[in-house]
Amino acid sequence: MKLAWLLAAPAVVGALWIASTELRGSDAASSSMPAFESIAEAIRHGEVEDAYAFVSAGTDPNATVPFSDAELTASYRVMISPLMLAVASNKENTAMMLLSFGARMDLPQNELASCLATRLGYGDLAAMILRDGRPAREVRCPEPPPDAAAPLLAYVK
Amino acid sequence: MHGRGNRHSGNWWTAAVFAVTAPLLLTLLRVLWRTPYPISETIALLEDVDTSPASFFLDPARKSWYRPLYHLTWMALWRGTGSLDAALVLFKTIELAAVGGLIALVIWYLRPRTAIAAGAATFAVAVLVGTPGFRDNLELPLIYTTVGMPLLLIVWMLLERKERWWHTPVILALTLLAIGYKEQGLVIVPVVLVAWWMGAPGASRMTAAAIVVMTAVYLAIRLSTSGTWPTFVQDVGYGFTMLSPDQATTRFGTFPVGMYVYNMVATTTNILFSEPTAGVFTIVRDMRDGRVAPWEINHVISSAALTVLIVWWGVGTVRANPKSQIPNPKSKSVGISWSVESRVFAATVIAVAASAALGFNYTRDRLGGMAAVFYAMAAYYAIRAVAERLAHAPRPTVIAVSIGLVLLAGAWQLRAIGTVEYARLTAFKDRREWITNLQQRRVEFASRAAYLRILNAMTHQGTAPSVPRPTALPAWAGSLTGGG
Repeated sequence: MKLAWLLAAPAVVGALWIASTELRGSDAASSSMPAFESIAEAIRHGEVEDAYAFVSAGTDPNATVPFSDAELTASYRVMISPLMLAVASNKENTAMMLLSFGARMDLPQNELASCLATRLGYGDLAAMILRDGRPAREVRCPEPPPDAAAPLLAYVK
Repeated sequence: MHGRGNRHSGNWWTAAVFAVTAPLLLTLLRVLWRTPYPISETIALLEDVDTSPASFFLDPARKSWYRPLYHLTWMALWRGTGSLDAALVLFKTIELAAVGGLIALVIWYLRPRTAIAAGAATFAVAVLVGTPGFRDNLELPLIYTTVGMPLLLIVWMLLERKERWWHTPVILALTLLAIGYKEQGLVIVPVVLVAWWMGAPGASRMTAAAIVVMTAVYLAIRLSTSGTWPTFVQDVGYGFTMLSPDQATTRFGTFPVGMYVYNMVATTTNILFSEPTAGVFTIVRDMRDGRVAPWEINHVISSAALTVLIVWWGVGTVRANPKSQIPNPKSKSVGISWSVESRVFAATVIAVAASAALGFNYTRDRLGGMAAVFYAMAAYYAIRAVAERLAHAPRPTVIAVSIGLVLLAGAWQLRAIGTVEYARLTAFKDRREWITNLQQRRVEFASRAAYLRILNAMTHQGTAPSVPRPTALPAWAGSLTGGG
């Protein structure tokens, strides 16, 4: 009988483990509160799912959001679209998500997204935006000096 | 029947095994239920179902693989209900019934009647769920073999019951159903024949003859339409790398038999030793590169140890079959009265060999799914045999072997937990693919109206927030389970 218990003990422990992880997972999934305070924070510091939580909750993927960064904007506060922010943050998944769920390349706040990606050296991201964003017209990219500080400033309105 | 206790105690111990297994089974089913259909595979598959006549899927010359009943199931569910959403739900119900039914059938077949047998049964369930063949067959919507696995077990249960007139037609129907979902279902054929040869009570000469005729007709049709198949139809693993079909043809096209043998050996060792995966020796490679994970070591050692135990038990149980003084009228092997356990061992060997043979063109973990059913049942008998022998062993032996058995049971339990984590991770990845790849698909398939219609109709299920996500485990725990 002791041996039987020894054989079954791992299964009992495993059952308790699995049940507890499933219950904890259910609690986490049932919470609809985004993990970040704003979509800008989610794009900068989260995963694509974090940014998608805002979009699926009704945040306009084309609405500009305030943003500042020591390197990209020399700490100036600018208004930037989620797509441009995703590009500036080199978040390819997030850029793809935004294009999938409403980001429009014909809007002024988004139309330089591929230019910015090229400027920052994200060639694959630039190609993806051109391919999947299907811009309605060809845009002329601004040409800031290659060594310009705050490169993002040339691409936001 | 399976244990040394009485019928009454059998019900109690069977119920106990169901109770201990319930969290694993219910959690796995819950995760699968909330897993979205992936954007890749599913949409193109449903587009074919939507735009093609039934005859398209019945044509055996169309592709090298042949799964008419799988596609016709989709067609029947969709057109029968008139709703894609309903078809998606019903198809997922089939998957859950197959997975849950298989685990329940294994426990029911084993029906432990002693405490030790019950402990061994919980071990067998962990083995089943922890095998690469089971894990790899959980992928929606590719549940071809997932359907075949419980059908194989039902056939085996009929073969081990007293013969009835309806057994033969039911066995033939179940075999055809399994084959129609995927040709791995052909594993059932040699299993039926070995059961007949070894005198299983439900395996009549009529059953054996009928299944041989049916299979011969099936193979004649299939092989007569195989003229244009390429030498290699999928990526093939070789050593430490994967080769594309073109690369494999360039390298082995003049003598593909060598590569076919490699694939068969790789499938066999994957079932028995959990390595290689898809023909690639990933664990050996990781060891060579100094980045092997604890779960990889666990998979190889637990599989190797269990396979050694199964061989020990199997050889012993075959040798223990008495040369009958009164020849068994059912047994075709003159003078030997084969036990149930020896038939299970023989069926395990046959199922492994048949699975390997059917994977000659390319190997994947999922090709071991049919054999995993018998591997788990053999594990039950092997562990039970070890445990029962300890009753009369000296104390030091009892202690040493008990520790070994607990470690082995724990190792396989980790693998079962890893399967649940793997299912959660798969669900998470599927959702991420929906979130990120939607626009790319819209652009790529802009000219295919049916594709876009199905894509849009399925977006909601693909992006739902209720999709499972991997458990946030401590690093040490994640490295042990390996699924996340």
